Amino acid sequence: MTTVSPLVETLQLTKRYGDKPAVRDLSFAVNGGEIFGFLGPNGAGKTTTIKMIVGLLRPTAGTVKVAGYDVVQQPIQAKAACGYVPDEPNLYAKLTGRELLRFVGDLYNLERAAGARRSEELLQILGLGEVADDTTDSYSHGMRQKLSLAAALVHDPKVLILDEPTVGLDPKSARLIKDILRQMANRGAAVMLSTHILEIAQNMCDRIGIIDQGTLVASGTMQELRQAQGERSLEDIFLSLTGGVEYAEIAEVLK
Amino acid sequence: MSAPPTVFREPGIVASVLKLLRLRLVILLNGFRRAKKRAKIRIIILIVCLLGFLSFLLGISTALLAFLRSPLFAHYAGNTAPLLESFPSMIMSIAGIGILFTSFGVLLQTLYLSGDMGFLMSAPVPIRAIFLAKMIQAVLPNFIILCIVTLPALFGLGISGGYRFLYYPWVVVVLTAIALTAAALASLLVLIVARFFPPRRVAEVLGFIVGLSLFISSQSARYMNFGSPKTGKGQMAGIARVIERFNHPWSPLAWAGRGLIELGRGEWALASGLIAAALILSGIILCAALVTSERLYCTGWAALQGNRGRSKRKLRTTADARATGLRQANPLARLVPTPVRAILRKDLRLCLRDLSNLSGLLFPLILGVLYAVGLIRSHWQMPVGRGKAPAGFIQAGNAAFFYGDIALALFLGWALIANLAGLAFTREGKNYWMLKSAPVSTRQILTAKFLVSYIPAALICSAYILALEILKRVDPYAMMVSLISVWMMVAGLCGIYLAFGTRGARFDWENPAQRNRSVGCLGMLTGLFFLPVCFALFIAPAVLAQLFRFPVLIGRLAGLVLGGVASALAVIIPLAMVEKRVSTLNET
Repeated sequence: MTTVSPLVETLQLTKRYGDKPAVRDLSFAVNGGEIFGFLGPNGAGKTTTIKMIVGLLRPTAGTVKVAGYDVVQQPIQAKAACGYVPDEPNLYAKLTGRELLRFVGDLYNLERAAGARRSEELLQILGLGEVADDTTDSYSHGMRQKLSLAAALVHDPKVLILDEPTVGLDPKSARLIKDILRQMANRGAAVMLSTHILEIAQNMCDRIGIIDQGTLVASGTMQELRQAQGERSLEDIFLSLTGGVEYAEIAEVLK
Repeated sequence: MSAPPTVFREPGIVASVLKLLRLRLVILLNGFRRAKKRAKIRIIILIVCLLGFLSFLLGISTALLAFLRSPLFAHYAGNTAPLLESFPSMIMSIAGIGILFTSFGVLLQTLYLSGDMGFLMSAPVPIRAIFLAKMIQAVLPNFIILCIVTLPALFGLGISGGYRFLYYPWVVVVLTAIALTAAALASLLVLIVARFFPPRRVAEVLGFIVGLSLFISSQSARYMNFGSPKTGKGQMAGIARVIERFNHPWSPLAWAGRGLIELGRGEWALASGLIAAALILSGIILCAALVTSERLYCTGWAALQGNRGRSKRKLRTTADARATGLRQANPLARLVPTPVRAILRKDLRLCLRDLSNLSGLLFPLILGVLYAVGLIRSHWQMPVGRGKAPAGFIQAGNAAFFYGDIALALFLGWALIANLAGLAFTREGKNYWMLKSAPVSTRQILTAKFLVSYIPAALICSAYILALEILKRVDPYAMMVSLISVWMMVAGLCGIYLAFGTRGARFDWENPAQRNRSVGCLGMLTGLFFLPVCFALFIAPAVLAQLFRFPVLIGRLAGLVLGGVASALAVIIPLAMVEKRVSTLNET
């Protein structure tokens, strides 16, 4: 079942740190049932935007809505609909994987038995069953990343926001995560992910948004981006929009 | 265009060690250069003060050692010659053992837990050089402290004894050799321990044990009998005997010490024999420890990942599942929303599992027990002293000592709450995103954090006051009043410190030692003002009732109402003031 209503909506979203603008008048929407890729060079404002969507940062101006709820005005409802995987999987070091998922389930007011069942399923699917009773300080980066995803999925969110989800993962785990995201989208959830890996964006995402210096410079399906930019690959489109073409010329000189 | 391949010349060990040490020096100097002007001035003043302190130490050591050679001291301690001859041996032994123990923690940190290991190990630098540089970096701060403490004493010995010039440079050489040998042994110990236990856990346990030992030692001084009339000839002779024991004929550290004494006296043959023996043995131990450590290091570091997982204890949580059933049946549990309970459970779990958190609970408890022992020993009476204080002062003191149990319970509560409530948000650190992105209201988070601070503090204070009042044989009614008043005051203090802790919360710390900011100076002062005022509100009506011959019961009830209202306000007002702040925490 696929829903077409926007589950994530930003309108003229702006964030300034003092005088320095990090995000400027950003407006886009992510519909239920689609995977939205959020691309941009380092320091473009991707993480700031994501943090505003999940309620970790308060926007300076503009609005963000998640599942129809304003993140600033109705933060609890908006957060209840959302699952978030940060770029750095900082988890409570002295909790076990199972305890952490139970804790997250309780934060989202899940019924105990259902939460425990869901946690077990996720731990098994993500290959963490063996280490579920170890404290997370003994986990590798990839294991923490997967546990972080499990924590985001434990309450079966309508909206899933992921910041660089495949960084530090082996190919098998990266593939697993891609499959999970596709399944989530197929079930009607809105999935938004930021990534530097253009191949992932090109192959996985239904729509792509490219942000540069805090401004959305392009948005649409791959087909739409190709038509608008007249370029063949996403890499060419990305470089032409974010001013990276000259680096290719420098690389040519260094050969 | 293809250039001919250049052959990389492998750098020598000494050159590599110097390169790595220079890197540290550059980092240190950069830190100074980039520091604010105020910080630079502070550092310069500190260095000047340190030099002044060294001169002072040298002067006082010389004077003290001249006293040790004096007939007056000889009168108390007998013949002082063996004592003074043992002095360098004692210092060398203490230095060796001291460096061995103090370097362990630093070496563990620098060899296993510093972030630059991956970078250094992948660079074309001999591993031996990395190891040596790390060892020198680790031992250098302790060695400097050692020199600051011991050199003035050893030089003072030389000056007071009129020793030959060669004594002075050789003191430094011998001390350096001993420090390096001790550091090499310490690194060997670190590498052996790290093969069996996760280094991070070892560092935590070590920090906990060292902190606990230092704390107990510092507090145990209050029970020492400094003013005892027994102090005198016998005690001094006892101390002298202990110092002489360091001068054991089979101890290489004593050879070094005795060699230095002989060198100072100009007994060249004996001096060179003893010092050479000590240095050769030191060199052999150093080389053997270095080679062994280096081998263990290469294999140990590579095996670090596996090591961590292997020794991790499985934490079964089936008991939780059983407890869940009980909680759901318990109507009290329903009063507290699930997210609040979840945060409460999580924080208490982390508090007990993380030794750095646990120490915050244990240290006040030890202090409380030590003070309680003192109070019980004094029979709730002020120490008599020499009996020259005014009678009114003695009476007031005795009255204060009568409420000593409540005051001690409050002191214990204050120390616990400053840690629990003051760091309630800071303790979350980089994990705070989990709470902030969850559908939990700021009021629920504040409630959970309040309960996390209040419940342990109230429980510990209750047990403490109950134990003290049972020993004091207080009647059950008065005991109940004490308990209720302590619960209320602890709640008020929790409110105040949680509010100040929220305002000063920081989440960017890397290790627990960096989360030193608690409630700030103003917060501390507010808490310290609140406790006596609130305490006065609890007891004043009862005292006044007694004074004006009203029924004491009415006075006590009035005290409970007044103190209770003050405590409730201390919870509600500060927390209401910071409620908005919670929603924007960690947004810089």
